[in-house]
Amino acid sequence: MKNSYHTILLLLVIVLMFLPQLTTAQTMNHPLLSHGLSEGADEQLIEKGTGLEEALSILEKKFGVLFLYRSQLLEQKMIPDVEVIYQGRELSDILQSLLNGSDLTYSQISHRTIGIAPNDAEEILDVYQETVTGTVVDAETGESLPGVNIIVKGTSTGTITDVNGLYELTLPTESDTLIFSYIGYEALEVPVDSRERIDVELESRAIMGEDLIVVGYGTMQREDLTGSVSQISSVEMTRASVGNTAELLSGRVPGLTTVSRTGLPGESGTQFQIRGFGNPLVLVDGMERSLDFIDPNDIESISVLKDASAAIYGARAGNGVILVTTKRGETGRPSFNMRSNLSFQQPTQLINTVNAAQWVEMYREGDINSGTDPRFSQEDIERYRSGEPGFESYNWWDTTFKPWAPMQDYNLSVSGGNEDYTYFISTGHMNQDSAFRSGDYTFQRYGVRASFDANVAENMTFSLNLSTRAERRKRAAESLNEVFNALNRAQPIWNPNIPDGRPAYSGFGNQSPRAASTADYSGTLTQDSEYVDGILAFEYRVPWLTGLELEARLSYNYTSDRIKNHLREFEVYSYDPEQDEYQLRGARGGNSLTNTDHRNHSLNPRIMANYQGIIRDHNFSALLLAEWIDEQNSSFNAFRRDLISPEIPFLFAGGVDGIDNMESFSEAGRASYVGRFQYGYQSRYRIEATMRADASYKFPEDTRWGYFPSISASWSLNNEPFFNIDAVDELRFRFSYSQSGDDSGVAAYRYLSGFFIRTAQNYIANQRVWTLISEDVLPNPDITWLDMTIYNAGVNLSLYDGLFSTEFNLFQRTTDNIFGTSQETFPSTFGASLPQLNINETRDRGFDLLVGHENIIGDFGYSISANVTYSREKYIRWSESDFEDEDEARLFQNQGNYTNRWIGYKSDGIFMTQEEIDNHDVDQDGAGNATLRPGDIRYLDLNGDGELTWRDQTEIGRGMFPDLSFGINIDVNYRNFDLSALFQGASMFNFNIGGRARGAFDNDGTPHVYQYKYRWQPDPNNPSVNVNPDARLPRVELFGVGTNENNNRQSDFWLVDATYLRLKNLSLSYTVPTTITNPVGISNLRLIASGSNLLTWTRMGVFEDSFDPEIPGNTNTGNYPNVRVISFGVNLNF
Amino acid sequence: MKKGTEIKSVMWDLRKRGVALTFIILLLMLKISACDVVDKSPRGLITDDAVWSDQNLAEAYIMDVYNQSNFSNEVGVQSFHQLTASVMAGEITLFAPWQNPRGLAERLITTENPLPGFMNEFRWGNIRRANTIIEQLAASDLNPEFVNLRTAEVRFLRAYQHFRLVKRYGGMPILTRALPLNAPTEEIMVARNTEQEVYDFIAAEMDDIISILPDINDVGRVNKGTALALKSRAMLYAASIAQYGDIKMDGLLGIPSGDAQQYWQASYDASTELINSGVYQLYNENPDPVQNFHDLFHVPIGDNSEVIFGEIFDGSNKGHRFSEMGLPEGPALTWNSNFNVAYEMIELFDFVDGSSGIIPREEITSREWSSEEFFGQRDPRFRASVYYPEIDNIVGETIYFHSATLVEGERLTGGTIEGVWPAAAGPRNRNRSGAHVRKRVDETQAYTESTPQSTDYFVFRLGEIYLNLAEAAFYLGRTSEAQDALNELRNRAGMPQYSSVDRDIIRNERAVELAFENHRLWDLRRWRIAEEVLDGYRMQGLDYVYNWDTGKYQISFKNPEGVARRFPPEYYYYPLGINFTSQNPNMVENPGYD
Repeated sequence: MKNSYHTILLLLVIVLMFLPQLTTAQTMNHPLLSHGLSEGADEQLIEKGTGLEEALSILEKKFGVLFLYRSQLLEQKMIPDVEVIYQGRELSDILQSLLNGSDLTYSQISHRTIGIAPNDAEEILDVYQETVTGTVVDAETGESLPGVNIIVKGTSTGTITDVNGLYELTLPTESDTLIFSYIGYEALEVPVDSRERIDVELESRAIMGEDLIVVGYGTMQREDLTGSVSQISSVEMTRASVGNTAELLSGRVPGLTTVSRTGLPGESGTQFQIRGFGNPLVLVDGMERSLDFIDPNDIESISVLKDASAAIYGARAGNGVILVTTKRGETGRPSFNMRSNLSFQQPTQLINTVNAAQWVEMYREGDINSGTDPRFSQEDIERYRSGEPGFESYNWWDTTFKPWAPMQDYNLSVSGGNEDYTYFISTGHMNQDSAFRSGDYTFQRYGVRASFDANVAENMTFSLNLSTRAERRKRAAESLNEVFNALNRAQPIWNPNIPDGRPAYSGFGNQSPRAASTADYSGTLTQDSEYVDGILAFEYRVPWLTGLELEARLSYNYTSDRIKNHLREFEVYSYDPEQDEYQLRGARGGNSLTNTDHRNHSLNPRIMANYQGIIRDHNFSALLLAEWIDEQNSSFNAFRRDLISPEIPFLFAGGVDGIDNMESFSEAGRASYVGRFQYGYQSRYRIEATMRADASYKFPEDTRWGYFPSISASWSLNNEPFFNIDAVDELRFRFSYSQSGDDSGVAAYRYLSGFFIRTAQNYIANQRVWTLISEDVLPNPDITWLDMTIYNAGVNLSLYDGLFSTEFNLFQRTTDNIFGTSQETFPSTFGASLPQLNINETRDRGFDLLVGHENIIGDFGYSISANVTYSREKYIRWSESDFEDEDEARLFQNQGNYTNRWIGYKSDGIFMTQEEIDNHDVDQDGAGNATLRPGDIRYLDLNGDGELTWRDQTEIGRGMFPDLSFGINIDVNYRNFDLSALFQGASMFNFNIGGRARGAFDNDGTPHVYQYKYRWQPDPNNPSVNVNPDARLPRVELFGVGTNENNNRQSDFWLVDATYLRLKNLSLSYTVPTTITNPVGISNLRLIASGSNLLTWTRMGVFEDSFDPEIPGNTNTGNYPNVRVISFGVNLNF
Repeated sequence: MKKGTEIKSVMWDLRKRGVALTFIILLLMLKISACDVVDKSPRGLITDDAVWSDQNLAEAYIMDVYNQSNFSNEVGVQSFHQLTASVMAGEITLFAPWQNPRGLAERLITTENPLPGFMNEFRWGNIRRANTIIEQLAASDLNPEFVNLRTAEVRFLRAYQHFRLVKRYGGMPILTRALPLNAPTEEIMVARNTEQEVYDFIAAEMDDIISILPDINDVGRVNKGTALALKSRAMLYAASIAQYGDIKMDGLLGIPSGDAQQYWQASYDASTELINSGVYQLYNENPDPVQNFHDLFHVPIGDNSEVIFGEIFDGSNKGHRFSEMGLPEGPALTWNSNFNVAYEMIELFDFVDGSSGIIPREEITSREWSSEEFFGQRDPRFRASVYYPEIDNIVGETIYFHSATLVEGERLTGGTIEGVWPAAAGPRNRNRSGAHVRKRVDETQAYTESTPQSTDYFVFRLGEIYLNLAEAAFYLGRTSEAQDALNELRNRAGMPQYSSVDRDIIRNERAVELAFENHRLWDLRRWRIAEEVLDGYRMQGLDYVYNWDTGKYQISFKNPEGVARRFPPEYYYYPLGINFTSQNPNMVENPGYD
């Protein structure tokens, strides 16, 4: 079945290529000339004395034919014999009569065209076709424009310009008019007026921003878009100087929500969602690649396809598609661009922990409150307060992190070419340090990217992209999780800097966060990654059908990842200055080496036929495409321990015990066929339909193929003749419907049953280590992808020449066939991992809005744009147990409810005194409040039954990913200065204060400052009375609130609104006047200073100084924080 | 004219080249697309047919049932869940309050918040696996001897899993079929069997396979002794439940008291047969009873005459972190001092002269004690099972637990006295109860996280069988046999012989011999005395101040845990949990958990 698709497509391509020869061969002997008019046969057709030219024109109308002749031939010629010509006669007869006696003869040229020529003409065609030649150039730059569409008005005759912008066209008549059209330019109509050379300048159509939009498998005018697509250009991208492309998208694109989870060098910390959906498909020059570490300097544009516009990518497009297009060469002499940036990064938010005196004070309080015997006395507290020798306070965070970490980023590119070829070569390097004082956790990137385009044969261009990138990450071998765990536990009473510099004990177990984050102690983890991408494409402009292009393209990617994890063993000491003694407190780490190699190859061939045509007011385009992806992944690892010396971190130095190695291999494959048809009428109505057939290797043969149609339309009201409001530049309505899919979350081969070898588990019996096999989950023979149906309705409005513009989209996405197990029918006693069935359904609804304003007043120009996105998802059909109880249904049932509800209790502050507990008329603990103590949380009895039970829970918040996100971009320029600011924010999401953030000393953590400041604080002499007027948090207990059932309930006490607004980026640039730079050969010199994550406003109340709102949930284990970056850059063109 | 021709020929060349290139491209595309890129198969998937026709593969799957049985689960191989059952039994507490087993002991167990995954033993997958093997082996063409023997082993593993369920929850469904997906709903929605049916099922299964399994000490595999041992233990449980429990839920819980004798007898028979088989002997290789009892837990399965069945750890292919976490502060290099023994547990160990281990608490706090008189004269099994102050030569070091030292009346907490005596022990040794679990802790080296430890976990050892025998014999009226069985153990332990036994002596001996070995929790429950022992129980620890001048300790009591524990009567059957019962209308929750 699949093979037949290939064959059909290939045949189609071959037929198209050879078709012209067939069609041009059959021009003669058409029965046209023998036609007569049966009706009114005896009516007079041509009157006596009519001029020959006029007579022919009468015949053209009556017979629906076209005469070709040179005007001067017919001038002054009259019909020789003033004979009346009647209609009944055959056309050949009439012509015979008309030309009788003249030196002219006639001949049929094509099925509707008849040529008139002198009797002695050798070849009638040579005579009657005028040839026009000329060049087409850009009106502004004067550069020649290749590929411009030229059509004879009212016919399908036409051609396109070659790479030099030259064209040659034979005309039916010299009175014709030519229409020049080219993407991104205003179409131009030029009457021939008997000229033989017509040179044309086309005006670029850029009204506001970039008007040529990259869409799936092509480009389009912004005004031709029927779907919802946003694009940002390289200009915007490089304005801020950040080495991470993903970061640059934040806040700039309506509908795209980003959350930065970490600022760790080399870590892809930015999480994307288009309209709140799952991970989008990211394609770089058509290949699936991560966005993170592509050199932003190499990017020409990024398009975000949000609705039916993405459907052309079918089975993987349901969450939207991000298309990245890299730069290509431009004709001209070599032009160099150099960018160089120096940045400084600083953590946005480190955890603020208490000092030694506060720690000891809280610890004593915790012991007393927890009913265990206090380990510190009141005198101890006083000693730490005074800071006398031996009782100093230390801050482990400050000694583990430095305030600023540098980052350098360089890029040099050259672009140039002539009529026959163009090239672009870019090379870049980035070096990013981390904020760890140890100097580890660094990231380096080296990249080269080259593209080359050439005319290799008549009508055939060849293009090549080659890029390679190497990344190197170097980290300490101890996991970051452990480092932060140790930092969270580090007690301020221990000195992090002991005299002889050995790893210092931080007060718990064998932990020493500074040493753990230092490769020299804990060992080294290096990751070397290489990416090689190549694209080879041939494009053939079919000469006999103007506007038809055929393309064959082959992409190849190779990724290699080599990870070397070398663990060292190190000892942790404390130091007693009085006795000058070092005490061994423990050892960490190990002595082992694991090498891991991952490789991925992917081959992606594609053939494509693309037609674009304009006939009068109609323009069409059609696309047919087939592509395949064939992918192989392999990995290999080897482990040795007991290395003979930690200084020889190679496998050969390892001991024989515990040698381990493993190999894995997997393949993937996809086949796709795509068709697209677009039609526009008079730039008023546009309609686009796409169809994609996709096959994924993940599914069985019967459900492997999916068909994903889409249809979208737009109506530009402002182009209607009756619309005459001058202020409105654009008023366009769009609607789209599409179906697409998502197979990313589906494991492959879930339709097969069988067994797999268990890795990393053994059983020992009979002096033998047994290899084990285990059954796979039960198969589902009908498994297939998630199905998405997306509706989008949008409007674009632009007023007063772009002074004000807005775009608004309303959307709905229904996701069906979501995987689930049939909960109703199989209790867990069934014992098998139930097959994943396509049974569940959700729906997202929301909107995105973009509002812009731009203006220029003299030397002063500015633009402001704001975007907002809202989306929320609901369970429509969900397989779950039946809920008979009303409250169970209200609280726990998914079906019909939003997917990101947070269920819990409503709190009402804390009990300040025992009296308040005694007067509390709700039985909160099921024991008449006997177990409650001052400093406990008070809850609301929502159903008013006098008891606090699970039924008193309600919806108290939303999820951790924002439902609402927004961005504001402000650009101001004055003369040579450019200032841009980007504010980004989010709302309608929650931050759950949990673990160590919830309770002081939870998991042996060191308390946070806010826990000290706002705790219910007992009077040392009267421990049931609070002495802290700011008390808002429960009393201190030594296990956090973990086992305090009352305070640890899931409630809005611990759920905070994480709404924030952040000055994501601010940059100022200055362009050095050309009067200074030109004399030294520099065409453009720009100096840039920029900062990111400079300011943040949140609504997190007492917690706001302690957490970054973009890292919710980061309270227990700890992540590398987000960073604030200040950078300085130079951009040079020569 | 010449120039024109030249141009023409160039054009012709380009045209020709275009055609040639087109063909090359087409051929290339045809080549690439011709191979069917979507028709892939998973590498490493082994087909069903292969498994049931290849003995090696079938065996690999059977060994996975052993592996997934995770016998050591209740004592934990996961670092922070270790000794959960001992924590719940009040034998010990753990170092940090946030460790899950502590939460389980200190919070209420409810239907909304039932036993967590590491304790609930809902190993439905492994029961299904066992059933699949039993069904498929029977239908296969594999060697009948292999089929017969392996089927018997897998039936044991299935029965053992049912035993783990019944001792927690009472009657639970007996699952003997791997149901297909299209099985009728009434079969899929299984109902609970009665508690008696489950115990009877275990006994019947053991009776069936005892004759098939070899009567040898087969290392790490189920053999005849293993089946007898399970029968001995399970029947003992059934008997005591019949003796002391109540019938509830129409028999889903409880066993008629009239059937008690029959179960005592069944247990007695199994124990006797096992002991008399002579395949196993009490470990008695070292004349020093302390060292001998210590070594018992470190001699690996295979070399250890006492072990009937256990889970083998070799440290390199399979290891755990018990020793690393259990060592006291001092020699320990990483996390340590995790298992803190309750003073109430220490009291159960009598002195070597036969006097009671319980000293009136006023007496304890009213005078000073040397470590030797307070700890050193207790049952050798105590000294082999618990770390106490000044215990010597633990990874070559002396271990301290005191919080301060008095030198001429001055209280010192820092530094070293006369270069030999630390003024205070490391904080982790003082943190909770002042005594740590020593049993099973490997003292040959101080481990770090990266070196897995290899002490084997014993599921059944002969010592328990003697205790099972004593208990059953006692209820069958064979008191002298009971006394003999206990004296075998007393003799090996270096403790004086009993001249008479009663119920409490038998119980106390069991607590002492099997301390920290995952017995006490289940014993307290089946004897129905957990309420008495654990409800309102607030574990005590000891705080020591060393008097340098007298060489003795001033001992005081402290609270190593913040709360008094709860053990309401419904805990004799733990809740199944609302998440579990809501899946299946036939699965009714145990009483007392509304």
